[in-house]
Amino acid sequence: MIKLPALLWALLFLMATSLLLADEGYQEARLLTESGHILPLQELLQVIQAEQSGGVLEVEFEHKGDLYLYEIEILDKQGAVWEFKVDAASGEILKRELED
Amino acid sequence: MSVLRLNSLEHRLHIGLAISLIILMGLLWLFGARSIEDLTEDFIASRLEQDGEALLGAIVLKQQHLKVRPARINQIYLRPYSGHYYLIRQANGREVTSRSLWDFKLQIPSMDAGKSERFYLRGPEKQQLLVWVVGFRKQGMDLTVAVAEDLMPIKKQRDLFLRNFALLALASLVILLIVQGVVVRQAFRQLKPLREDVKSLSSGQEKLLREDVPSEMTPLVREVNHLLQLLSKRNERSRNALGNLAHALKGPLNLLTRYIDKQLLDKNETESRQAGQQVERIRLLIDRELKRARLAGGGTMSQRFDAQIDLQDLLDVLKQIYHEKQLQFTKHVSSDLQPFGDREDILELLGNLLDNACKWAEGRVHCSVSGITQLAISVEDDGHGLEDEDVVRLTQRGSRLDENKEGHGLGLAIVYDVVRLYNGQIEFDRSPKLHGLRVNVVLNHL
Repeated sequence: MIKLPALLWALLFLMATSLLLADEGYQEARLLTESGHILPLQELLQVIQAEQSGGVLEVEFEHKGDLYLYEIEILDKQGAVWEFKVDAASGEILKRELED
Repeated sequence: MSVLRLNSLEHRLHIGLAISLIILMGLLWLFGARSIEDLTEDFIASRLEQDGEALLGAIVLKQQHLKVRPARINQIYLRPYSGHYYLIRQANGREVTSRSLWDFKLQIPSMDAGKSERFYLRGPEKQQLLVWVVGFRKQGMDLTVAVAEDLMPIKKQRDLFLRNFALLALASLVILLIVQGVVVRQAFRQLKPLREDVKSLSSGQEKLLREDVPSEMTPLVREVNHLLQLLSKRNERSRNALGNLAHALKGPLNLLTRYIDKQLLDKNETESRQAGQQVERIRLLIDRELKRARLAGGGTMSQRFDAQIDLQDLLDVLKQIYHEKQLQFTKHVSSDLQPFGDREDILELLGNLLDNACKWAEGRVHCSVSGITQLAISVEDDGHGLEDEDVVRLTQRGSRLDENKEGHGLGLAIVYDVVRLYNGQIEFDRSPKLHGLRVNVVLNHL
C-alpha cells in the first residue's frame, strides 16, 4: 500500500467531514423549521421561483453567526443553473447569480 | 344536407356507425386508461418495495440510535425535492428522513412488523406521492419504513398518451364515416341502371328488368319481373278470350244474316228488314267493343308508336291492298319526332284515316306526322272530298256520319275513340294541295 503524506490524509478527512456536514444540514433545518425559527423551504422556493422559474437542483443550509442561510440552485428550462442566497428567517433574497 | 333526414339510408348508417364507434372508442379509452394506471402504479409500487428493502439493509442501529449509510442508498434520495423520499420511524417516535424530503413533513401511520400499506399523499411542490409503508423488526426494534415516489412525471406521460388516443379515435371516427359515405354512395350508384331499366320499361322498349343488380335488390327486381310477366299473361289471356268470343259470335251472326236475307228475298217483310238491321247493328257493336277493349287493355306494356318505322310499314301494307288503283303515296315525318303513345292505338287511327283516303283517292295520298309535346297527324287525298255541309257537321258535332254505311262504317268511330282517349282534336277540311279531303288530328300525351 502506498503511504500517503500526513497532510493529504488530513485534507481528505476534512473534505469528507465537510461533505458530511453539508449533507446533514437538512436535519438542523428541519428542527429549526419545526420550531419556527426559519421559514419552510417550500415558501422560500415560491419566492425564488417567482423570480426565476425552474426546478430545484441542490439546497444547502448554512449557519453563520445569527444568520441562517439557504443556498439554492435552480435549473431553468434553458439548462442554465441559477444560484440564490436566501435569508432563511426572513425569506429575503440576498444574492442571485448565474453559475459558471 | 341535413343530419335529421332519417329517411336517407346513408344518414341512418352514419348515425348507427357513429354511435357504435363512440361507444366502442369510449370503452376502449376507459379500459386503456384504467389498465395503464394500474400497470404504472404496480410498477412503481414494486420499485418502492425494492427500495424499502434496500433501505432496511442500509439502516445501522447503535444504542437505540438509528442511522442510514448514505453509500448504500440511491443518490436520488439525497437531492432536495427529487420526488423520491423515505422516512423511518422508531417505536419511540424518533424519525429519520431522507435528505430529499428536507423539512417537509410526511404524515405516515405506524405499522406493526410484517404489515404493509399503499396509499397516496400530497408531497412538496404539488407532487403527488405513491407511498408504500411497511413495518419491520430489526435487532429487537420495531421500525416503520415509508418509501414514496412522485407520480406526476408518469401521470403527465399517461395524460398525454390518453389525449393522443382520444384524438386518434376522433380522427378514425371521421375517416370511417367518410369511407362509409363513399361506400354507400357507390352502392347506390349501382342502382342507376335499374332506374334506367324501369324508365325504358314504361316507354315500352323493355319487357323485363335486368337482374344483375346488388344482391339486396335482387328479390325486389325478381318480384317486379314476376308481376310484369303475370300482367302480360293476363292481358294476353283477356285479349285471347275477347278474340275467341268474337270468333265464336261471327259464325252464328253470319247464319242469322243469311237467314234474314233469305227471308227478305222470299217475303220482303218489314219485320225481317228490321231484324236484319238489328243483326247488322249487333255485328258493328261487337266489332267496336272488341277494338275498344283492345285500346283499353294496351296499358303500359305496349310499345310506343315510332313514325319513322311504323308509318312506312303501314303505307307498304296499303300499297299492297290498293295496288290496283296505282296510288302514289307521299309522306312527311319531322326528324325531331319522339316515340309517342301506344303503337296499336296510333296505327289504328292512322290505318283508318289512310284507308279512307285510299278509298276515295283518285291517285295521290299524302300523310304528314310531326310534333314534340303533341302528335299532329294530317292525311290528305285527291278524291272529291266531302260537301261543305258534311264537313261542318262532322267537325262541329263530332257526328258519326258514316257509321252505319256499309264498307267503311267503323273507321271514324275508332278514330274518334282514339282521339278521345288522347284528349285530342280532329278537324276536316279541303286539302289545299290535293283538293280532296284533309283530316287533321292532334293528340296529347296520355
